[in-house]
Amino acid sequence: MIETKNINFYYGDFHAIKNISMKMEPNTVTAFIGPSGCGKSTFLRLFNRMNDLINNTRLEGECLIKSKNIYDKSIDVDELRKDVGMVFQKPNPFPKSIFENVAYGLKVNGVKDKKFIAQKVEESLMAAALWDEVKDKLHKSAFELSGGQQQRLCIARALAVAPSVLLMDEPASALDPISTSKIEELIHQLKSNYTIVIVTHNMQQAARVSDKTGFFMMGELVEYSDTKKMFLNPDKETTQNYITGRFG
Amino acid sequence: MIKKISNIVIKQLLTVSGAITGIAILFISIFLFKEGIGFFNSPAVEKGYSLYVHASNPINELSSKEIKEIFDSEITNWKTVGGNDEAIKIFRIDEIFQKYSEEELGKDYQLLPEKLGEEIKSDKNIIAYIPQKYAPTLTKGIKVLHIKHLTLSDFFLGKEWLPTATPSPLFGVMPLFLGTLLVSILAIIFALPLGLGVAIYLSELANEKIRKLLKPIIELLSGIPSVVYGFFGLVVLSPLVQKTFHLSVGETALTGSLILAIMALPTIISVAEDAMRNTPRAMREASLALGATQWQTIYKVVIPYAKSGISAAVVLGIGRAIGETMAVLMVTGNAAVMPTSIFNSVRTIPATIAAELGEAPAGGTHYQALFLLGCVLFLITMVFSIIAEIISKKKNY
Repeated sequence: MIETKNINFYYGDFHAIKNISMKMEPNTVTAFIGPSGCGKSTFLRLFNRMNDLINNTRLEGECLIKSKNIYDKSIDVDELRKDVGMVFQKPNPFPKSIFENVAYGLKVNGVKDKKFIAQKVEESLMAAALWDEVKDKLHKSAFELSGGQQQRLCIARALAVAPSVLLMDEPASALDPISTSKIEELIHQLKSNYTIVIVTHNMQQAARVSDKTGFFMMGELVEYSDTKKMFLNPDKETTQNYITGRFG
Repeated sequence: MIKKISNIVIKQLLTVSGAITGIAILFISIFLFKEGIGFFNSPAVEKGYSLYVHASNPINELSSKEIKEIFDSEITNWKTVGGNDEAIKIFRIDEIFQKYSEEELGKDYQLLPEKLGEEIKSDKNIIAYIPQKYAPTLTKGIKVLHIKHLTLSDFFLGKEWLPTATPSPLFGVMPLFLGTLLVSILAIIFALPLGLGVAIYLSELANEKIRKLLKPIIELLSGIPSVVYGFFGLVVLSPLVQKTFHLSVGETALTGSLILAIMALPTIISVAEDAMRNTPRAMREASLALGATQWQTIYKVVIPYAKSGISAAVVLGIGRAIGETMAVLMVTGNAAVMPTSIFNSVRTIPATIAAELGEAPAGGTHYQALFLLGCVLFLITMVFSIIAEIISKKKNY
């Protein structure tokens, strides 16, 4: 599904991603862990070309999604982002109603059929396990929701445009434990339909939700293997040290 | 201890400076309105002059408009103003000198009041405009015409602004008010789309280098004195307008509004750009991550988010346009007539105040009328501020 080949990424002179090659299978959850500043978020943001927005950056290598190099000139970035949805660290709903938030992606992609939009909004909110909580106040402001609800709204918003990949950049870091467990539950459910890549600094979370885990440090992918193996019997000592909390 | 004292001192200083500012503003407004309101207690003839008619004339009072029309020979019959069906005979003091020689009027015109009285008495259809200094000594056979006070409708609905006409000046604010509105609205029509366009370009599209170069230059433009803009308008813009539209004069409402638009642009651009750049990065990213194009992100997320800042930009722009004096004074042609097209010369309220206050005798009707204009201007800008406040407070969500 996603494959990177010898990716190097620079912020100006800073070498942020060092020669990373890895593969992610469809309908799996892959977690990226590592200390702050290790490049895991930067790496994640390469998959929907979010780093394009930052000036003075440079990329080497190839990033393939569905066997196509997404940095190829023939790629339409807007189309790519429709297929590769993203959920951000902090809930960032638009200053619009709950309904409009979810409908936004459809509307900007030219969907006009109101019935279809309403149906999609309902489906997406259901998929994000938010429908029952908001069905009576769809036209209220998204800011009236709690932080956890807002984050699930952002997931629903991402799901509405029917992506095949869902990128999550520390989606629960700003949430309380109950909201976090709801999000994790949700990730489990979504796995059957989406390929999910999640960045987290919470190792228990990575252990709970992911099939495979990549451990990043100083811009390098130190170890990448099945989550179980990674947490029980890592190959490298650095990984062992990080997981057991000796640093980071 | 010292910390405590300095804390108290700073607190007091801040309070005092706040109070002083408040009092100053209050004082200015009160002064403005007090002088302005005096206008409605003034008779509508030049100070020091009176109007006299024959005692048998049933007319006791006239309004300023009637007086003006009588002396302009637009009203020629007493019937028109509610009197007898007789032709009006206008008498001005100059006529007495054609009838009598200087000797007959005596030393220092001692006999002038008497002669004037006789003159008025001799014609029952006469209306005489005479300085009070030479008020006729005769009391029988003549009477002083009472002149109505200027009314709200004289001022606000009057279509003629002739503050120095004799005997009865007209203070109709309509042409000035419309002139101000015309020039300001046109200016905003020119400046707003352009200003917002540049603001969007600077905040969303331009790369960092261009932005860092352009922003200070644009901000510098708002610091140029308005008289310089006026000069530019007079020398460059006005001939250009004249040539382009084949007009007899280039000083028109259009020229004024163009210059105002140029002047309002820096404010609009800089305030709107700041507002748009304050849109959180997370909002833009969320929109782009959903497959929205950059343009969709701008008009569906950035602009709504920056709405209150943008409306502040608009109000500051309008405020500048309405209140601007010097540049408009120089390029609009200063004709206080009802504007009928954008190619007419017009005159705005601030330009009128600036141009006429120096010539208006302090405390006179004209002087008070100018203060009243100031009040009108004050109220217009206040209305705009309130509207802007309402718009910017209104949340989308």
